[in-house]
Amino acid sequence: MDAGEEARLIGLARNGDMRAFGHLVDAHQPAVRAFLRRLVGNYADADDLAQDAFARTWEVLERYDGSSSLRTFICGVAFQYWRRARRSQSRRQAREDAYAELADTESEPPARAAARLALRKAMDDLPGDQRAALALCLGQDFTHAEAAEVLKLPLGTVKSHVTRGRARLQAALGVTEKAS
Amino acid sequence: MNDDLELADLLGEAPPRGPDPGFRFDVLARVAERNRRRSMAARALRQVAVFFAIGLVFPVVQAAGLDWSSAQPVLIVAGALTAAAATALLTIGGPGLVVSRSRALLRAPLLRV
Repeated sequence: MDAGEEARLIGLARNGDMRAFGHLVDAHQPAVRAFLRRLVGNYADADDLAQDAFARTWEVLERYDGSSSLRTFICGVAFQYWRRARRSQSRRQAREDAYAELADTESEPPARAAARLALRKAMDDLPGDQRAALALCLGQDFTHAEAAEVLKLPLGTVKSHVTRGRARLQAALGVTEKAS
Repeated sequence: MNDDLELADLLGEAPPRGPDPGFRFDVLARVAERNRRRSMAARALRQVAVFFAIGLVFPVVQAAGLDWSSAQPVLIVAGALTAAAATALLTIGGPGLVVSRSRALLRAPLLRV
């Protein structure tokens, strides 16, 4: 979707056009869902948060000033939702969900399942901002600058979070930084 | 295993790149539900404010030094005006469910013809 078309749809959505907002949801849902899936680990919870984030975006669309991309704006809303949900949910519960999800993927080769489990555990142990920075930048969906806008952090901090977080994830998989 | 994309893949499978109509439907359903809740909360707040104002009339009148017999005509007129305003509000913009149901009842025989 080009910028002009997006601006037109945003204008329509601000005037209450649900169909236009539906097109915006279609355009941005892959990036937002991918970000939350990496962040949360549990697909159902991630999609639940993503839906809440889009619904909230509808309410606060007036506040979007166009200084950043709409995708960044929605991911910022999603990040706030995740932080709030995280406060109310114990880490133990999140890990149990991750285990349950891995148990569901029986068709997966054991080595890969073990790698996923180790990675998930390492991800859960990271500080919240570092975790979110990795979830945004690892899949190459977002640049460091966009991640800085989403997380409201300085660019240097985001770069540092990604570098350190990546090293910790690789360590969890038994990969040394030298080898990478 | 040092590839960022592979790490991302292990952390969470990306959703399909194309539009997911089910997801869009769920989002729009949530938007509608949140709008409904907001309007219900606003209506409840309006009702509380109206009843609060009605309740406040009596202590204000008393505080103004008027006794019951001298204030009675004023209170009766105020009560009648309030009741009329409340009825008008309910009739014009009031409970949507009641109004829409009444309209549906009126429309139904027309549709059957």
